[in-house]
Amino acid sequence: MLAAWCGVADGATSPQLLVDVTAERGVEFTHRFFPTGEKYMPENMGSGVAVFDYDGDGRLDLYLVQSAPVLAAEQAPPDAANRLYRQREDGRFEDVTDRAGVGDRGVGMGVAIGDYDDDGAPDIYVTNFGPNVLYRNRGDGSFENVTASAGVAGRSWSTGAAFIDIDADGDLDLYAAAYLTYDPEEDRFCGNAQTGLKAYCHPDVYGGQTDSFYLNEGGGRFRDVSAQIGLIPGEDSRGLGVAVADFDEDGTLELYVGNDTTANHLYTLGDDGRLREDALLAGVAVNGSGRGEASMGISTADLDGDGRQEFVVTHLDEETNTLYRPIAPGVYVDATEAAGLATPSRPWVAFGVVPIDIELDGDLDLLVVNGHIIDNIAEFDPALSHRQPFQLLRNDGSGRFTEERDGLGIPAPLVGRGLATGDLDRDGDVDVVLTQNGDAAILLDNVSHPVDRALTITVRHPRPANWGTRWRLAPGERLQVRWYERAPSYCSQSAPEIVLATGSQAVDVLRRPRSGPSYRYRSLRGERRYVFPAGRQETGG
Amino acid sequence: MSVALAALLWLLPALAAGQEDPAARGAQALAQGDWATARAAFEAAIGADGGDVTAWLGLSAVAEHDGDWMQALQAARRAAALAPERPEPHYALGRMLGRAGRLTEALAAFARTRELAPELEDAYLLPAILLRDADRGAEALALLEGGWAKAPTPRLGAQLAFMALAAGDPGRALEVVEVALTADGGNGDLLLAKALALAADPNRRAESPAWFERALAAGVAQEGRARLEWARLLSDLELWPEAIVQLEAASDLLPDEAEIFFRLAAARRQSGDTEGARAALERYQELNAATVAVERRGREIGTALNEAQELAAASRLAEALTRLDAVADGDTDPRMMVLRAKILFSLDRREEALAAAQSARELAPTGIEPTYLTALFAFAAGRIAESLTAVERTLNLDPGLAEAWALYGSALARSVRLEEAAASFERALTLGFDSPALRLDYAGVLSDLGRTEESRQQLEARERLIGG
Repeated sequence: MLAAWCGVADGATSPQLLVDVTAERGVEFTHRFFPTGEKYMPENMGSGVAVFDYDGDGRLDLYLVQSAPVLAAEQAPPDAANRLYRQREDGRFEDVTDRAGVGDRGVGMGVAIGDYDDDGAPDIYVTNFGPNVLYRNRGDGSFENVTASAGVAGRSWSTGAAFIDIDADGDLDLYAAAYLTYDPEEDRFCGNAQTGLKAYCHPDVYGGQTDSFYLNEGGGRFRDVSAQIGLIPGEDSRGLGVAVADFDEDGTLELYVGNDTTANHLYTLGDDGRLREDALLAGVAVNGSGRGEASMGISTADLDGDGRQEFVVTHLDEETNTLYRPIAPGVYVDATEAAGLATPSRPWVAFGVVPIDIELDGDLDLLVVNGHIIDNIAEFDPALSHRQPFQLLRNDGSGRFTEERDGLGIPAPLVGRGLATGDLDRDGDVDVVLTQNGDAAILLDNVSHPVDRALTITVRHPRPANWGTRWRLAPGERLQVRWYERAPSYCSQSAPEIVLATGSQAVDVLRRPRSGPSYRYRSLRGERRYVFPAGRQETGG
Repeated sequence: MSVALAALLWLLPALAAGQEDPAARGAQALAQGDWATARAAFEAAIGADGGDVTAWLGLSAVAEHDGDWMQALQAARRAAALAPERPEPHYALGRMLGRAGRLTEALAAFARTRELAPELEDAYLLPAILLRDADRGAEALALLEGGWAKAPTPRLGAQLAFMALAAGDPGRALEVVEVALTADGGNGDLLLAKALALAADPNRRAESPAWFERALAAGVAQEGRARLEWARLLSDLELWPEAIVQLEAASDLLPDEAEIFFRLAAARRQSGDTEGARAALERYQELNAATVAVERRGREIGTALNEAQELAAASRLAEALTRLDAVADGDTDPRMMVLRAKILFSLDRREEALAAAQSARELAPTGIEPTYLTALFAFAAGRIAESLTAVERTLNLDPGLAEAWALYGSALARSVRLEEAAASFERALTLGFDSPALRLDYAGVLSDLGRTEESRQQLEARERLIGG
């Protein structure tokens, strides 16, 4: 009995990597999806989480997205609202939603963080089934809802979103993926009509929607350029995941949009100011077999330690979580099988995915949170389950992964959706927050390693030019490259921190912005947190 | 060689005994691919002796080849009834039931075959394939493991290895293949299974291409697929020119396989052939669009069926019909036509209901429900001869369908075939079907036959049913 409690099986000790600290850190957030039995499509899709420092006190805070009744969001009980949890000095979180004024009560999906007005205080964009909401951070601990004046309410059903300075004019533009053209009043019957057993429909049953793209006009206003800028139109778009990275290594950022069952899109801004969609030629529109997949969550990172960014897209069961590996600038191949990701992912419906160097051994592992989209799936197929395991895919250092489920702090299966990371307790490693559909959010403290092995860099006041900056240990050290960006996972955002595993010795670190010279930071030590820029001498090179 | 022919050749040693025997002549003709002669010989044999099991089996195989599933199933069933202790009829029956999509009954027939012939590899292989195709991969694998333990043949080994690979167990696949190759080192499918198992092992991938080469040289059942798999490996290894060779060969063999063109585009792009890549991508997009359209249509039909059924269950029949009408070309789907027929019948539009059921049956000739509905609605429309034909077809497809026996009884009664009608009613009751209408018709038939006391008992039973 004791052995089981300690996570010991057959005499072998399974090392504890993560520990559930939700209660002791004071987070009491339970996602409610308000099931009606009618299986309204938005019920099962939410919701996400953001990890960010909203008040600039150096401690990471949490923004958790809530749902609401699909037919009548206004009828949600008063306690059903998005929640902002501020981290206090003692490490506990306090609910400051009302004080901050960010308790949107829509049918929540996702969240994106970005300082769109460049005032140094991160703002919050919430996507909903229904109008989206932009909260401007006043910098005094409170926010104001500026959706109407900014003109960014989005489509009738938005999901993943991202801030990106697509036109390199120094301010953040905004992209919001749109999912289905869906009216709950005209809900379709899917399932088994003979038994009356209803299920959430396949997305093909409904039409897609064109995503939204807003260019920042300055002065707190955005211009909706969705119809002019070259987005692929609705029927072929059922957007879920959105990621921003320099996918073709040309020094500019591109947008990657995952679409449910149809081809994903890779958008690059052309010289004519219009987006060019190149996913198919880049090899990232569909999987290696040429099949469109579900494309819920996306994460970008150098997973095989070659200094280039791979990215992983999560999918349904009977599909794989697909890993795209660059073989030339802007050209990718599906390397899922070779990376060992196919077999562990086929049984599960995966949503959130984050890269994490869980033991600070210098390579990035992957955490994946799963949960079926059909809550009564077992009634259709007893072999399937709504709740599914939380998975660690451990990297062997070469970009090949093996699955682990023990020691992750969550013994029971989940209905996972959002997943985000950040060094919540400032001990140098990366902690985890995950959300569930219809269940509690969970905070997981990373306890896997001695605390003197990591060097953490936090970027203060992240200007758009910082996004996509490449950080790495100087030559002579093991190649570790990290990009400054906000991993989107599924409808979520991780803290924009650079974590490099160093051991206890001092190391030199190189910072290479997307354009301009590189910089070298000498003799930085593990067990330290660095803030950039912070007056430290930058050395060109 | 077709499965049907392979199965029949299994009988040949027994048949070869007497060339004067028409059934033996049929088997010889079958072996030579002379299907017409074979059919004539088997029919002659049956004409001479309706109890000739071998002739029934031969006729089943010929009918299967000719695409007359109904006759094939009926002949196999007859053979199984004549020789319940022989494995061949059960095997043939299992195969035909499998073809008709009647999985449970097919599996039962194969299980009986295995009881009678535990070392017959096809009695494991075929049901395993049926299970695999029904998304019951674990059961398929377990069945093959059982077969492998009893009859470790190369064919079983190859299939077991392929299924182990599909289940993500390349280690087991390799284990089985190594054993099977000792019995048949030149078996292309085994060599292919070994190549695939090695490709799935990150430590032994480099060994895999040589085995692909050997497999293709030896000949494999699905060369296009094998070349595609080889190309997948070569692409993973970034051996683009080699991958292009395999993909181009595969594209000749499988010109409608979207994945081949998608991979060909990627490989050409890597080799700097941008124009070639674009051409392949165009072909991929064309094929993929067709596949996606088929999948979407399947879902559209599924949703329409669900919604129409829900409306019909709520007695909103006109709306249900409108919902079905909203699906373009819905009259090409048998499930749509079956539901349409039922709704029309409920709306008392009997001729239209019968026409819809007939259309459904034409679309799905081995479908029990459309065949039964054709019989039922023809009967309701007073077309007794047509109903009789359809109900006989139904009973050939499923002799255990109690409702069909009841309907058969009523149709026979209307045809004044009273003894047969009485037997049919009795069969329906034995199989568990009962209704006041059946009892009344049965009572009438018994009365006409002069079996007054039995007729009275049926009327009493009817009263009990009504009263109950």
